Amino acid sequence: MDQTLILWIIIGMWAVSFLPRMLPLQLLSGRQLHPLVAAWLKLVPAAVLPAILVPLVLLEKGEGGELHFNALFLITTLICFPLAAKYKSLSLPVVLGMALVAAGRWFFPA
Amino acid sequence: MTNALPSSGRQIANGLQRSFPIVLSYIPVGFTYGVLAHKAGISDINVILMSILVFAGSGEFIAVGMIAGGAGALAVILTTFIVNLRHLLMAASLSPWMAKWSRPLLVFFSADITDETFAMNSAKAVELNDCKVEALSLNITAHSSWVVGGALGAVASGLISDVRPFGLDFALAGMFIGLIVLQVDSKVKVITAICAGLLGTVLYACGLQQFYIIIATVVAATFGLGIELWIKR
Repeated sequence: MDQTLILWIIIGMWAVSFLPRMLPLQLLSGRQLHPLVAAWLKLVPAAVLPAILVPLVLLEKGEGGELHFNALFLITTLICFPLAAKYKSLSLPVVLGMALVAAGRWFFPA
Repeated sequence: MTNALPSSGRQIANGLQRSFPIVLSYIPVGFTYGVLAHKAGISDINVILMSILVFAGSGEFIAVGMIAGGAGALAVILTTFIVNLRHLLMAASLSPWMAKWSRPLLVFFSADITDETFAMNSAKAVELNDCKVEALSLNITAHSSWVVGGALGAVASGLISDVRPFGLDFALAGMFIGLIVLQVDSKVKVITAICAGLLGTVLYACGLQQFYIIIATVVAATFGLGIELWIKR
C-alpha cells in the first residue's frame, strides 16, 4: 500500500478533526451561550455515545457487507453495562467485555 | 473555588490520577487499533502518526476499516470529519468554562478533546478556569497512552493472526459502555440516550453508514431538549 497516500489521508484527517475541536473554543470561550443552546449541548454526549454503541453491539457486518444480528456482543453488553454502572468504571467494561467475547468464541465457536 | 489554587505539582498529580481510568481503557483499545491498522497495510510510522495527529478512537477505527477496504482518500477524510464532528459540540459545551485560558493554550487543549477527556473535563467543568495544569496533565497523559497502545499493537500485529479469539474487536464497545455510564446521569439523558441508540441503529441498518451518528445525535439531543422543556413547563 502507498504509504505517502496514507500520510496525506492522515493529514487530511488531522485537519478535519482538529478544526471542529479548535474553532468553538476560540470563538466562544467565556461567552454565555443562549440557555437553550447550552441545554442542547449538555445532551450531546448522551446522544452521540449510544448512537455509536448500539449499532456496534447489535449488528455485525458480514464478508460481503451484509448485516447480521450480533448475539455475542449484545449479551456481553448486557452483562457489562450494569457492572460498569455499579462500579462507575471506564476500564471494567473494556477488560471484562473483551474477556467475555473471547470466552464466548472459545466455548461456542461459530 | 475561592480557596488558594493547588500547586502545579499537585495539579499534575491530580491530572495523572484522573486520567488513570482513561489510560486503562486506551491501552487495550489503542492496541486493537494498532493491530488492525498494521493488518490493513499501514506502516508503523503512519499508525503512530495517526494516533498523534488525529487522536480519535472511533474515527481512527473507521478510517482503518475504509483504507483496508480500498476506499478513496476523500471518502476517508469526509467520513472522519462527520464521525468527529461531535467534538465540535463538546468543545462548544466546554467553552463557557474556559474564559481565562489564553488562545494558544486553548489550541493546545482543543487538540486533545475526545469523548473520554471531555467526559472527565466536563465532570469538573467549574474548575476548568483555575486548574489549567490539571486539565492539560489529564489530556496529555490520555493522549500519550493512546499513542503507546497503538504503537504496541502495530508491533504485536505480526504475532496475532486474528483479533477475534482475543475479543479485541469488543474493546471500542467496552469503552463506550463505560463512557455512557459516566455521562448519562439524569432522566432526560436516559431518554435521549435510548432515542439516539434506537435511531442510530435504524439509520445504520437502512444503509446510512456514514451519516447515522451525526443524524441520530442531532435528532436525539433535540428530542431530549423538547422533553426537558416539556417537563419544566
